[in-house]
Amino acid sequence: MNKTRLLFIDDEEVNRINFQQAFSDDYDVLLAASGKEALELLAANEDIALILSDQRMPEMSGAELLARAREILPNAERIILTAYSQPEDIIAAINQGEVYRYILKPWSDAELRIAIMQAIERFQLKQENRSLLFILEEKNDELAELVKARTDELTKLQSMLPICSYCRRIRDDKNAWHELEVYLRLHSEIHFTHGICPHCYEMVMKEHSEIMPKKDK
Amino acid sequence: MTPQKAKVLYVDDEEINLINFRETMCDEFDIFTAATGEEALNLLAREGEMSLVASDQRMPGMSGVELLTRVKENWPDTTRMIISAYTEINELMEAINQAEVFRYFVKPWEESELRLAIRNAVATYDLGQEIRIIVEHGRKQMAERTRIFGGSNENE
Repeated sequence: MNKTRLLFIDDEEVNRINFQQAFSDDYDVLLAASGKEALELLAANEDIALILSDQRMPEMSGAELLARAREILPNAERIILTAYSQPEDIIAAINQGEVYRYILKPWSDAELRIAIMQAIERFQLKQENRSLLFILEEKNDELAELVKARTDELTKLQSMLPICSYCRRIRDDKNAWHELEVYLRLHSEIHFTHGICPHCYEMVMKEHSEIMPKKDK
Repeated sequence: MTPQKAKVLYVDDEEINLINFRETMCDEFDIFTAATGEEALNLLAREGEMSLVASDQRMPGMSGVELLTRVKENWPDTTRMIISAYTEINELMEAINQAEVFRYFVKPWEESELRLAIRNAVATYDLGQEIRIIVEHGRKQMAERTRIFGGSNENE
């Protein structure tokens, strides 16, 4: 089974090594030393489930990085790990980074492990919802096709039509009587083109010549 | 028919803040107010789920974080927000790690900023509801269509 992929960002190498040692058995850990490096990794690895970032880094802060990460991978969960906290940093982590957890350094491996597990569970739940949505749509399209095919078949299969011996009208399933043409138009996909058959043509022409017989004389 | 306004509950022990909030936001949202956490939970039980619960942090009895943690447990779809005059580190961290708030707003609020945050919070709630409705509707439709075939055509 594939390990879940995490991205850990910290400008201090010792923290990166510590994190990797603690978690690389259970997770596929990607490391970055700066926000810039992290953004490149985010663009290249769309299967990252969780981003854990230090807050205080030169150039780009953790909250800033996570705000940008939200635009690249909106579904990945976000955690800030930090040694020093200013209120503004935490408020930025909430309002810009929309972080799932805010954890103080030095972290305890056990505690961090629980937070990671919870974040990943949340990520997977949302992911499952999305794929469920997709499967539902597909399955529904399939079923809609099947329903249509079956309905078409049913209309074709109704071969016993009650027809009036005198006026040739047809009775539908609601006991209403229709002209043959109207009935066919409603219950089949037949289109009509109108013309006159030779027999009727003769009859019509005869009637015409009887009505206007004196024209030639 | 005009679309229904989103239901927003604001909790604060200072009445002047409740009045202010209601007066500035009632044009766009359906505002409910409560003066304590207990009152807020009773109101939620009575009125049902809200799009957003925004709460002051420091109140006698239940704190904002405590209240929103309870809201999270009972109405997990409702978006949560703290509006506080204080920015004490522990309170801020609890707002994230316990109440899992969507926004932390510092008093005194700037009206247009707060309005934008509330709009975002409501939109977040709406999106969640929409997905839920689509999934439920899809499930029902699928069940109905499968029923039409009596399950006998599963292997076709």
